[in-house]
Amino acid sequence: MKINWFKYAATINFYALAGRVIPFFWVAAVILITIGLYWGFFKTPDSLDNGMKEYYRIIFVHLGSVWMAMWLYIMMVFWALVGLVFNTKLSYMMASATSITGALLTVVALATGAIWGKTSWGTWWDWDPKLTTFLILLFIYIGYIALQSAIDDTRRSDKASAVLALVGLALVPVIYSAVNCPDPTQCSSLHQESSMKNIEPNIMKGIIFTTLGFWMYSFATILMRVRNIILQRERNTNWVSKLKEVN
Amino acid sequence: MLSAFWLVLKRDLLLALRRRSEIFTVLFFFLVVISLFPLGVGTEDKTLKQIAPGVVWIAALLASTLALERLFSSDYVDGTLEQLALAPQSMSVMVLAKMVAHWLLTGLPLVLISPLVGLFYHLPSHSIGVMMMVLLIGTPILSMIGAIGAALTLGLRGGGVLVSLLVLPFYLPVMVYGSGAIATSMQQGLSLQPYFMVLGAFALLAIVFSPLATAAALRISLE
Amino acid sequence: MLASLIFSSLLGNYANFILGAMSVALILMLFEPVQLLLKRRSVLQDIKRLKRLEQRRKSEQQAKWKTQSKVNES
Repeated sequence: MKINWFKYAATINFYALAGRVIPFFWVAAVILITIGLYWGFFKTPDSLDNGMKEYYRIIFVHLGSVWMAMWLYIMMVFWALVGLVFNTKLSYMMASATSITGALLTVVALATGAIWGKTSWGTWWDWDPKLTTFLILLFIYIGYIALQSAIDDTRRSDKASAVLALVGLALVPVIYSAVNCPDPTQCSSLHQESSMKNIEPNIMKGIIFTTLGFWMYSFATILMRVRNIILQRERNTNWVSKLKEVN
Repeated sequence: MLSAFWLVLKRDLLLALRRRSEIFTVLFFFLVVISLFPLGVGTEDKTLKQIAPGVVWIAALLASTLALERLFSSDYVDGTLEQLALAPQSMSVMVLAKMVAHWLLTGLPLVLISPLVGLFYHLPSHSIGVMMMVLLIGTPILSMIGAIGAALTLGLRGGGVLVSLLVLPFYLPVMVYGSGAIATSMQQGLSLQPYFMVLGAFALLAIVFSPLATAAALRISLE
Repeated sequence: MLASLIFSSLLGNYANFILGAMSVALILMLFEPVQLLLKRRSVLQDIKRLKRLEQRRKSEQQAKWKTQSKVNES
């Protein structure tokens, strides 16, 4: 079957498509997060080999939001790039809709990380490379949103913030390496190394389910926001005034 | 292409020398920030030496973002920028010339005055030399990264605050290694070469990519 | 209250921390769709108002034309 993808680059078609799929994403998000949390709380051991106790269960919301915050940034840059290359207005709308959900999940990641830090390191905040990089990521998201809302002309604000997102993507790895090794001759960090390989299978299941659930949640909210942006920007067009929502 | 570069550079320098007070505003801002820190944090010899590397860099970052707004704004207002965009020569080259001029007017004076900071903060003479070196490599990077932000926020209301918000997080790597080098220089027997290599690499990358990104951003803003 | 009691019986000392983390995440994540729905409602209302204004303007215009043509006829 051949699908004409460009059909959905038109806002009128995309608006309808998004409206149809949003409920499915919501259902999937609720189910997956519920399964993930249930599994995480009742099917996992009370303490881990390395001495971590029940508090490690924060991981189920922490990791999901961390991964999604990073992934959404990449998605945002992808849409910004598509917009710059093909000059399609819908891709810019997707980019700006993604930015807010991304910023929100970054806040969730930082907050849950701080709570976890309090239990395991005894401090709410530590200037540890991963935490610091996430703080910077939040600043970059905020910069993107601020730039977009500061420019009244939507064409310019779309393109300008797209360039900013691209510059940010180029610089985030540099920033990470800078905060990771302030001394270029040696590196150290308090945050534990990623221990994905030797993780307990039940915990892994919980993590996978909640992360997938967060993913579905992001899709649902981003599509909802895109629909709002479409309505807002195209309020004067013929097709919007013919929608059954406004009649 | 080279002649366009020289022409823009000469023009910008000439214009700035006619309004010398702007150069001094940035310079004195730098000095004021530098001299406020000891009064806020404490004036003990040990504290001063400890905070000096970070303070120098933070003051340099703030002075640099403060000066950014002027990089393109007057040319934007009087239409020169549109003429540059229409010129057949590559816009990146002319943008690079503007960045160089901007650095000569706002970055270089900071480098030259930084020994004074060393005296304020009781730094050994060896560290003062290192500080001048890292500022010499680092401030051009600040100008070049900042130019992207300045181009994106061209002609916006409240652009000055916005440009700081956009650009300051991106300055972080330069600040980390720049102040790291100064701090390391105060300890005996540690090699500074890695710091200079990293900063040099940043400078080279910035020279290659920043004019391209800035020119693209300017075209978007001028549309 | 009830939730935190259940939590603390299940998880002991760490209940408050886990509960804190969960509630931060859930509040933020529930807040977003609610805000989006409210936003959608206000945008739709704006569009409706615009449409009504447009219609009123049109009908007034037509009424004006009608009286104008009557004046012309007489």
